[in-house]
Amino acid sequence: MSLSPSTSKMLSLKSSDGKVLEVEEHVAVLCETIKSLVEDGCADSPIPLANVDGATLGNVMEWCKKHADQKASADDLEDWDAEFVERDQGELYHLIMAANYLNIKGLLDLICQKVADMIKGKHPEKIREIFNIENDFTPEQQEQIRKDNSWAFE
Amino acid sequence: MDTEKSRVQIMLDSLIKQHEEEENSNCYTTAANEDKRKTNLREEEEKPTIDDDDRMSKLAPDVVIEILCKLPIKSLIHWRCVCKAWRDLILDPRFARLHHSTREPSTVVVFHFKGERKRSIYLMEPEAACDGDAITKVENPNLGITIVGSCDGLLCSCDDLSREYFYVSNPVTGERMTLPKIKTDPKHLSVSGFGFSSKTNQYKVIRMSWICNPSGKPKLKVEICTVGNRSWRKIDNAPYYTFPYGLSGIFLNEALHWIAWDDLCSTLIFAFQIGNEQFITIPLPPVSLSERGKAICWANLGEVEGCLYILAVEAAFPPWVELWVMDDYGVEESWRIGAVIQDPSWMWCNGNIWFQFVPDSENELWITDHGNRWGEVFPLTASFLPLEDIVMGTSSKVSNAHSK
Repeated sequence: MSLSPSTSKMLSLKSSDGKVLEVEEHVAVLCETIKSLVEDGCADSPIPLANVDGATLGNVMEWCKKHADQKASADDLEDWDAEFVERDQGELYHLIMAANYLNIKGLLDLICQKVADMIKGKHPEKIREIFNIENDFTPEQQEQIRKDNSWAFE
Repeated sequence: MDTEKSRVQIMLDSLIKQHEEEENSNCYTTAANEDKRKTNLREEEEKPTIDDDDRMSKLAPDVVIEILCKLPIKSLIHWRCVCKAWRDLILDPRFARLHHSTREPSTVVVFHFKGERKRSIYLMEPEAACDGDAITKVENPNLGITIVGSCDGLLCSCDDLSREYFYVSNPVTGERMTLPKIKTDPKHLSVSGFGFSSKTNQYKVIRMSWICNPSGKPKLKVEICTVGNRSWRKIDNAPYYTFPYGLSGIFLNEALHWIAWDDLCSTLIFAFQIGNEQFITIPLPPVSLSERGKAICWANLGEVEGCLYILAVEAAFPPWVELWVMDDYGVEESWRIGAVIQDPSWMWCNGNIWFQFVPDSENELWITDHGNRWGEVFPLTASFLPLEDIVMGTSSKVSNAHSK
């Protein structure tokens, strides 16, 4: 299927909080989930996206629009992406969930890499702090794990 | 051993738990996720409630796995100390397999020789370089251990005093198993190698030994141990070759390779195929004299980016070294010059040329090397794969070096 930007028709996407977004089809089909609906001919009515709120959907479509632009160079996209992921944790969380739900591999990779970079080189205490996770190990288990992996803590 | 038991228990628990959650198994395949997404899209009406304070810990398991696959091993070790749920995920052999399969084999184990016989294993992770954290000591100095080879995430080593014990270990998890004792005549010279065959799904260690005998042909004695088996086997019909003493076989294309000399003392590349246990020879690059008419000798057979390479060294000082790469395995016509090395500072030249690293114009090339001036470099796809999961059979006891 070839979808050229000039003839692309509009799709309406309905977010979980009821907001409807009009998006060009060639942009929206970067979401594999929407693409398969379009291909199956099920994309006529506003497509309900029960797991994505309006603000996140707007962000996701902004990314899709940039990446659907065939004039954008690889370097350009890389710079743009680097700026795009400069967000707080809450926004990153919603983006990651949306990218997973809508099946956008490029966006999911991008955000996962950002989160991985946040974790990289951090000790467990720091990771718990960043992600607000409770330490549910007993002191004995904690000690054993440290002992088994002492090399990683030197 | 208690640790091992509890680890196995945890693995089983988490396996069962995940199995219940995702009945159709194959939970990490995209096809399954695809189906899930399609169903979700149509059926799920309610937005999952998210505790704003605790978001990242509520990420879907497939997303968490995406993130984990982008982390260096050292970060994963930290990650698994965060909480029980994350620990269980990393201990799941299915995760280990997935993580392993998505890794670039760029992670390298370095053997550093400090002092006479003490050797430590270092793990080099290029991805962790940005944190100034690229090199980590994994194992403390070991006395008298020679590395035989590396394959996937495993290292094979040999006790170099008696040469009677071989070990297979995963330096990341610290698991190590000892292979059955092999009888060794101290008068014999030997070379060994370690490799894997996907056809038989077996790891094998091979040792070839011979006695230096100026008169008469040296007869090779070839012995093999399939990792997990109770004994070594002898292979018949071995050719009359000898080898530079002590060199490890280069594992590539499911075969182990050595530079060897035939009974007329001509150099050749000798290969042992792990699966069918056959011996073959690989043609050398088409050069016998350098441009300046000097004799060429062959050194440092190795593997670079999935291709066999060999150094052609002109017998002169300073040495003129050509690095030949065989693009198509086994095809003589595919040998090409990959690099010419003219800077002797890159190497230690003492009949055994050593160099670390060849910068390409575009890519960095890791070159395996088996000299021993400063250390040895072995490619290793660092992983959490448990030895029991990898090795068929149960005759060998697994111990953990890190727990000591």
